[in-house]
Amino acid sequence: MAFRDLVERFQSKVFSIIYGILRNHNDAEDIAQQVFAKVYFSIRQFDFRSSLLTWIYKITVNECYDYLRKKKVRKLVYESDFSEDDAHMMENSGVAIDPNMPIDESLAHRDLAVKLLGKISEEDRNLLLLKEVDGHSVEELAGMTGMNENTIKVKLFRARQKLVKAAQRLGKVPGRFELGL
Amino acid sequence: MHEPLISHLEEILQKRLAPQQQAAVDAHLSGCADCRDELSAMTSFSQVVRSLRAPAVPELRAGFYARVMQKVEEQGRPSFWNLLLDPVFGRRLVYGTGAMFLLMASFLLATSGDQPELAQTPVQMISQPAVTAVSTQSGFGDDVQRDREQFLATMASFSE
Repeated sequence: MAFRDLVERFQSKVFSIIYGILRNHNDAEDIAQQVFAKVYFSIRQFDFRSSLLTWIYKITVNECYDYLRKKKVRKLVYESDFSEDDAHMMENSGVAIDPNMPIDESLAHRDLAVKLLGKISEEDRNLLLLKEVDGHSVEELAGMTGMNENTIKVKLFRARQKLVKAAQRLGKVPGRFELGL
Repeated sequence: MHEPLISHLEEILQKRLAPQQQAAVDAHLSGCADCRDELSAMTSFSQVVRSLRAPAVPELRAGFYARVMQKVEEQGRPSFWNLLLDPVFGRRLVYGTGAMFLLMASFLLATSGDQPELAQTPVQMISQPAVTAVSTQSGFGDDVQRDREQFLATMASFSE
């Protein structure tokens, strides 16, 4: 596959992953460019044990977290970045967020999600993102990673446990939810 | 969390359990507070992670591939430090520096033997008249009388 084909095939996917985490168009595009530059230079390291998408996904999420670490971004969306268009788009999307949920709360959830995912291992983080954000099924994840379905289930269970423990350590309880922790 | 929930956790979270399995899970949950709490937490955090789904992803600006290739070129351009890290160039640099060092060392060794040791005391000057500081003066050896007078003057003005 020519590199141009690879970029054109995965650019929307990569951009949507980054945009989902950062919610800033310019930053998301910069990081997407960086992801493909990294893919270009390290394509020889791809060992075909997982799918190309899984490998690119891993690079993408790592780049996002590197960016967040470097910039020390704690708040995902600053008030200055949060335009009325953004608010309108989020309120009307109905995909990711409960439309009845106040915007402040959904921002708090995203902030919490990024923080908690930053506290668990890269493998657990990628698996949870592929499952919850990208909506892949256990069967699809098994096919993508080359593991069997039971292994994926166990890994997901452990990742979720670690996420809950990370939240307990942070003392974070999402506003709308009663976690019973 | 106990086994019936672990093996069906993903189906529970997606609310896609078969009625029979759902009944079994509900029966277990009604008698196990730990599982109830843990499942509640996992359900909540599952929704928290889902909040990272982009609601409506804006379009990438046209020319994305060109910008990627520009970045590739920028990062692929060898810097001075990258050149040093390059194995072939680095090896040549080491060999070249070594050869230069050997040449300079051999040159210094070869030329240091030619330098006459300058006399520091009158005794040395007498024993090595040809290599004393006086010998550098022009016409030395042409006139014995003049040389003797110069030599005596040097000795007379010598002070330790």
